[in-house]
Amino acid sequence: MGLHADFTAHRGTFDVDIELDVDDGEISALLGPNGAGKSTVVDALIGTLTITEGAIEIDGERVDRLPPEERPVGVCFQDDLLFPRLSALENVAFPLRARKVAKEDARRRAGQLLDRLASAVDPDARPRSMSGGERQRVALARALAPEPRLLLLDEPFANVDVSARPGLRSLVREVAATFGGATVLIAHEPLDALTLATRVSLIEAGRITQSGTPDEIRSSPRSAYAADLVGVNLFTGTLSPLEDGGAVLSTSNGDIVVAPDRAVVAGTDALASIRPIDISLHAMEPEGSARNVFQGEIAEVAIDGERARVRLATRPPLTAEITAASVARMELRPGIDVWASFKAVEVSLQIEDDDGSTVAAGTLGR
Amino acid sequence: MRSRTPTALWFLAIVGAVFVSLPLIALLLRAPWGDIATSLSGAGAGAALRLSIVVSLTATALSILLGVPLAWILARTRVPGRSVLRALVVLPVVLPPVVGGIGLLAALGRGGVVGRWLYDAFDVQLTFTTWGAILATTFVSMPLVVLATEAGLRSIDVRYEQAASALGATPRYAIRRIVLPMLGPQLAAGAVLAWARALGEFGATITFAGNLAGRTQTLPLAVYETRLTDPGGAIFLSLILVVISVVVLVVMRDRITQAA
Repeated sequence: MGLHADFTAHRGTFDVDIELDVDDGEISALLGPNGAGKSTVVDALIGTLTITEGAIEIDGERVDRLPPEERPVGVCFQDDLLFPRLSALENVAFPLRARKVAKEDARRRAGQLLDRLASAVDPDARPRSMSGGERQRVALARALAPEPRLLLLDEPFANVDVSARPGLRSLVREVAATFGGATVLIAHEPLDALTLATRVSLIEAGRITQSGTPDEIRSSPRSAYAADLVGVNLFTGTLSPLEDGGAVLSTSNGDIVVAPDRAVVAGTDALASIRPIDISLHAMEPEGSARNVFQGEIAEVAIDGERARVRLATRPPLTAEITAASVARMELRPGIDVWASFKAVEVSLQIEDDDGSTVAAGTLGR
Repeated sequence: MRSRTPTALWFLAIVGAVFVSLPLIALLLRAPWGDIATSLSGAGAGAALRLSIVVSLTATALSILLGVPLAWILARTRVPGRSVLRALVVLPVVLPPVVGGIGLLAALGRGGVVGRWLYDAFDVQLTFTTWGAILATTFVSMPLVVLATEAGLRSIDVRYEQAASALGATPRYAIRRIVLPMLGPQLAAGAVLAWARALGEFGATITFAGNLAGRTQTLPLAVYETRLTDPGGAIFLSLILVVISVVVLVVMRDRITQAA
């Protein structure tokens, strides 16, 4: 059971035609640039926009003719949209009160959800006084309050401070796995989609252009857009500080040197990314200031117009983007050995905080 | 940096300030304070004050009851002819009140378009009654509620309503729990303005409802009539209106700064 959506929806002259299947307990990400139709999909799933063809089924039941308030959908909106005149607790209790749950009962259940998802938030605080991360935690609790069958997360990390993202990301992962229904994550930043989702669908101009696991999409992007969007090199691992202020990120398949903006404790989990365009390729061992230098065999060369993406079987594996002219000049082809280099400061780094409010597995539900 | 102010500007500004404040000061200077007890204890003053309060508060309530839904339609729907509707609704703000009174007579007077039918079918006559005064007052005050509420609604992101309905709220519940509380400051400001306007209403009331002591003679009408026989009494009645207006102004200022 879960979500099965296959529909066409129109907004003015723009139309969206997509198919989306998500199992319970899974996160499926819908990734696309601004204007690709993501918010049209959100509105169609919520019910503020009526679909013109097809069907939306949740747990095998048609919901596309139901008004928004009767659909079993919990939503975390972009900009959170917490109600400004209600406290954190009243916000979370709102979906229950709207469904005629008695006030005391609604407040009690809202309090429990807040405790689990946003323990750092004062239940009586107004949204205005909370940080972006706290607001999204409250918004997540509010979305879960009515025990939905589909959780819709619309760019939940967009207005959240970078330092608060890892904690929120693991909370989302935890919630999606345990709340019992299917989760759809709408994103235009590939990082969240690729790290959280079991399945990613790319949407461009109202159509899904590619769909697959994050690995499938990363290893064989089908369009230049997909390559740009998901071609980023991602590493997860643990940090060990170096004496000069830098740090080494140890992944399961090789180490890279990074430049954290603050002191790190050995063993801290972190997520690092480097854009393919920031990786240089060399025929011989390069001399220079780059602290990350790897030698490895070329696995694949994909030429797309004037640009080329080169996949390397280095440790860790890397994807570099260079010009097609360079490929020709350096006579790059699969099987030959090259050197790749990039600077530690080019690596963007997200360090997991010791965040006590991260939910423990299996604590969700009533 | 403060800009330098030419002397001529200072002069004209002072003339302007004196011109506005002088009549109020003159009211205080010219009031026959020795007669205050007799002037205000006369049956006329008390009845006019009571009637003014009843009429202005009822008119304000009616303005909110009808004006808020009108503002909603103007701000949140796409009914064709909305701009015409808005112009019509707002017209009483700029219309001379006496014209409003004549219009009300033509519509609701005993021989009026609707008034004749009301009288024939239900034996209801609005002219020369307190309800007539209330309707005339509502006619001029309601636009202020509509204007303030519509501006307030436009400043509230529609997505809050969409969020509420996606979270399980019916449109009616969303309005009650989310929109009206967010609208609070602007609605209050509109209501206070409408009430102040209602309290001072003269032209439409005297034209449509007449000037009957105890029934349609509100404070402004009483001031006008008393002036002919008892100028000192008229000053005291006027001072009551001044005091109420000053209080409204002070309350409004706090409201506005709170909202901002």
